[in-house]
Amino acid sequence: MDCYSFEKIISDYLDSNLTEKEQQAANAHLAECPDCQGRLQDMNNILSALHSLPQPSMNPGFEARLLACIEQQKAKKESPFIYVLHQYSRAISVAAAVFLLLATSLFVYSAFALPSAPGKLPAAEIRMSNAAPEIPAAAGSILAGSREENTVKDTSKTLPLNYQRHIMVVNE
Amino acid sequence: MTEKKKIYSDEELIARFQKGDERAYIELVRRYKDRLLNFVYRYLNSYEQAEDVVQDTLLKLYTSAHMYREIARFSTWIFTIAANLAKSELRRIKRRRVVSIHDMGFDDKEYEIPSEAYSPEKETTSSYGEKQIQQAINTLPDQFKTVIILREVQQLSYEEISQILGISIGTVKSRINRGRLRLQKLLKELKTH
Ligand SMILES: [Zn+2]
Repeated sequence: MDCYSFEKIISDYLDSNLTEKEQQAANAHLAECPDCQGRLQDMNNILSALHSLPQPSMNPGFEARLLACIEQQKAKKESPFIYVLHQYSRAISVAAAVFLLLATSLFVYSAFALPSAPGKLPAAEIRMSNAAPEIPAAAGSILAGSREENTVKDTSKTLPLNYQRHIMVVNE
Repeated sequence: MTEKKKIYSDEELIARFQKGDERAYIELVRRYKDRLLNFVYRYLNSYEQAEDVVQDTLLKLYTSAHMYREIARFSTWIFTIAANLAKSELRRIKRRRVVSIHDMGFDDKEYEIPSEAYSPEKETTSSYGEKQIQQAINTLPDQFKTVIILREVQQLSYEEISQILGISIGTVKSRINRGRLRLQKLLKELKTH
């Protein structure tokens, strides 16, 4: 056996896949060839390095995440409409808030700022024209029933709209 | 009253899960998550992506458990799924970073501190550190890489590997043989660089 042949069977030699005859020939070559001894030693080192590679383990939260993922997929399969609602619930509520806000602003604007608006109130009044954007429900209540409460009686001139939004005056 | 908990085999567990017992599924997850992670991590060389692939594998186990037939061992079946998902993930990663050739060479840190410095107990001239080994694995062609990881890291038998990859035992043997020689050559090159 020469070095080339030994290299070809080195893997089988290590895994004991050789026939007895091949094994003997390999051993005979090894006994007289320091190069192949080194080659074999090196391969052994590589394999033991591979065998002793650190083994990472899963993050502790993995199982919970996996099960949540399964639930999500189930929901998607069972009721696609509700799943979409659920999935986009945040977007839907933001859209609703923006819509309410716009509607409120538009209502207030058309009621009090437009000159042609039929229900125009005296110019001396300052109105809260801007509801807090993050609370659409509050905007609704202002719209509904606090028209009188939010007025200031004796202001002689109307402030520009962008000032109005910073003034909050509430009568007791 | 001595209540002994029965240890189910993987195959018994999958059979129970096929009949609707979700606890059997959880038990399989617990048995395999780390083993699968270990395989995919070495294959992709990224913990996060490996975790995603393992999650997809175990999701697939949940949704496709009915596809399992008892002719195969459960372990080879689940590894087949993981190997396929890992392979397509690697293809996706490679497509994304065609440019970074730097991955192939040593990084600066390794020039500064020779790997022997990390493990003084292994003072022999030809000992190999994790980084070198992983680098060599990364550079192996795919057909050798999978086989080498399954054999040397997972320590599976030739037969199991042949079932997982759907190739003959002869092919497994020759790929292990050639893969090991490639690895040896790559590590030599990495050392002399
Ligand atoms: Zn020789």
